Amino acid sequence: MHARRWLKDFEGTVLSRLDVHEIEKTLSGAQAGASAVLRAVTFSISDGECLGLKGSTGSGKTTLLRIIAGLLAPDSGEILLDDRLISSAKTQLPPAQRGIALVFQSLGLWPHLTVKGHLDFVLSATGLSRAEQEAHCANALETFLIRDLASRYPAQLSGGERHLLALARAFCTQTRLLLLDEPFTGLDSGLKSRVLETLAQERLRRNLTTLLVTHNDDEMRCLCDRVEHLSEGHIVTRSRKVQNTE
Amino acid sequence: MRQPSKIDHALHVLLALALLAPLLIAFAGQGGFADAFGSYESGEPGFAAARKAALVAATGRSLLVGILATGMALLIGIPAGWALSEKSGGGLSRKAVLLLVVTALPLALPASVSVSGWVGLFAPAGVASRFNVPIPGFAPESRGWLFSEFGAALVLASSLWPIIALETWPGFRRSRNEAYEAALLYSSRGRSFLRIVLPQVAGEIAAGALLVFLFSSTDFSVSSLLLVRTLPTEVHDALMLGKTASAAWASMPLLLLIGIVAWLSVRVTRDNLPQDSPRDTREMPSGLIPLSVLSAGILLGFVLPMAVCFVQAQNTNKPLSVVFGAGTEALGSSLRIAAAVAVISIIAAIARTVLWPETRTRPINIASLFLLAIPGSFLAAALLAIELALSGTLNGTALATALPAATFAAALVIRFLYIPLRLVEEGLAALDPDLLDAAALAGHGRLSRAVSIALPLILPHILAASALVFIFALGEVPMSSRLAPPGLVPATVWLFQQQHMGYDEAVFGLSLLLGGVVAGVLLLCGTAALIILKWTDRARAPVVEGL
Repeated sequence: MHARRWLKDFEGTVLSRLDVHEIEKTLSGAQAGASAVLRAVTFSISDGECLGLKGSTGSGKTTLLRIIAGLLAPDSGEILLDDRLISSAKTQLPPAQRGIALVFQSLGLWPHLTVKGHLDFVLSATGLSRAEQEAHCANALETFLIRDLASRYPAQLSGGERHLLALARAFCTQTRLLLLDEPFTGLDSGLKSRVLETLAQERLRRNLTTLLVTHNDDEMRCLCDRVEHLSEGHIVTRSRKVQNTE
Repeated sequence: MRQPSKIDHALHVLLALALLAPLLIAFAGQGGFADAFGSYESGEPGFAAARKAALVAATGRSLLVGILATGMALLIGIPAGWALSEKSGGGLSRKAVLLLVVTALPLALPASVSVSGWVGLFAPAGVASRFNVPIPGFAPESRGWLFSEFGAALVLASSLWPIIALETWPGFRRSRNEAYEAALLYSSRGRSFLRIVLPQVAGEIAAGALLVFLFSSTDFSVSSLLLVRTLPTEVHDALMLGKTASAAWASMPLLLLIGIVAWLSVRVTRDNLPQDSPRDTREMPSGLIPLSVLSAGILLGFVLPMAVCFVQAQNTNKPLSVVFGAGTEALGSSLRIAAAVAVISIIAAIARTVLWPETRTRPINIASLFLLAIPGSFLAAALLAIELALSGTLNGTALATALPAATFAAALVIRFLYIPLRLVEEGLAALDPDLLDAAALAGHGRLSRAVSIALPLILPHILAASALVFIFALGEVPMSSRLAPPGLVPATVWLFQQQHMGYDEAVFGLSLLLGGVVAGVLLLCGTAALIILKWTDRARAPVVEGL
């Protein structure tokens, strides 16, 4: 119920600012022992901006995204969304109450639900009326070019179609912040440009605040306004503006 | 795993039929259909109708107990499995093995021991048999809620819920992936669990529920001690009167049901065997409710009965030699028999692995599950008929002396054969097929691959199977009461007979001893499994993934 009320309060508002302040996180493995993954990570993303986050494997990018989404709690530091504290060592707003969408590297699709079932599940938690849910669902299916696939299951979709479904799921509600965790992994260049183009258009149309994690410079150029570099748990490059050559 | 060849499949079918064939012999003994269903003229007016009505009512009670127990076991087992999938960690660590051992404790506790605890708590003055003897001129004594179908189902559910938890936790573990996390972004934890996780584990839940239903609807000990006249008690009564054929015919309604459910259960299980090391597993907390349910389940199924037995044994203020002394001889006999049965089960497990290391043995599994689920008295009737036939042939020879003990041991091995078969198959299914293929490419034949590669890697499964067979053989009642050789009274039979007389210090003392033995065996098995896992380099610690 909290999630629904909170989302309804902000209905119509799409601009959001993210402030990540001094986030620290240590993950433990029984063999490796405890290891610091994030060390005093601090950055901000302003309303409607798209920030690219680069870093080598194991630099803590995914951990950072999962902390922002509320799937992990930080050891210390704070995360504010529109000046509202959503994560700290003591306060942890449940993921569903944050209005954050995350496109996972594995996409995280639900194998037992159809394409429409995915969107219905997401929309049914928003507090919208049935008619409004149907309208949102139809709109997302149309926007992401998967209307004809509505009754198919993830296993019956091609790689590109699965990515479009993951994006449609992320966009079908009033998302305040979009997190993308290497979302184009495994796509060939033709499919990737089609998915990228759809994503870029929709993001710009909504002016959606976005954080993209990727190794790929082309993806950065296409989507991001600036880039930060995460290395061994630290932000090492301060706000390099992306030079869009296209 | 691969599909068996036509020859292997034919062998599986033949072995399955060979396992089931002895059951037919029971139908040729004393009594028969007419006796079982009251269709002969007894001379008493209304006898036939009353007999049929009694059997219909007993069948109905069996089903009611089965359904109620399954429902209750699901209520505990599903949250417990979910909590187990979080708390057990990513690999087969010490913590994971300890948690699995603790979860299995209620299942390992003999049913009659559980009844001691429950009766000691809710009906300490209750002497079971007195309810069976109405006193002329007095109104029937109130039995209390425990002595009812609900009470029997509750006691059974408190023991059997670990089946569902242990059946489902690998599936739950696999479902703790990014798809679950994606659901958490849009929905509450409870709703995500119900809509996203549960449907993906439906197969495992169904398999566990079917097993619980089978065991609870065909239970004898709990129903008998709580005076619920289910069909297995009718079958047992016929057997104790020497009417093996009547016992066999009286089992027919349940046999049909068990056959269907066993077949369904194996079909459901086939596609849901746990996979090794799920890679996407995340450490999202389950919340307090599942963990509380898991703790409550262990409390209800093991800690509570044991604590009540301890308190009741202490309250008698009698010396320990009296409290623990009465049943020790019976316990010693039981331990020897159970150990022998466990050793034979290990041999059976090794034989299955060596013969078919890369294929499933579905027909044998179905037959063995059927033998595990049928009323024990019916199986006892069949083996008793064989023993009687053989004793006539072997009369006067040395073998005739050993025949009762051999029949008893064989009965227990056959009864619990499903356990080593199932666990071995799970172990083999979890092996990376490349391991065996690599050995094949190196020129090793099937036998060599099985002995050198498969057997060492599934040793923990074989060990777990032998421990479970030992524990279940120790707690078995209906077959033991009829097939135990002259002069040997197994502990649970001794306990069962005492419980029908009353619940005194000796009952609670032996209950405590039995509980201690099963807990000790499980703990030993867990320790040994950990040592073997380390030896085979499979006890990998959870890996921090997806940084």
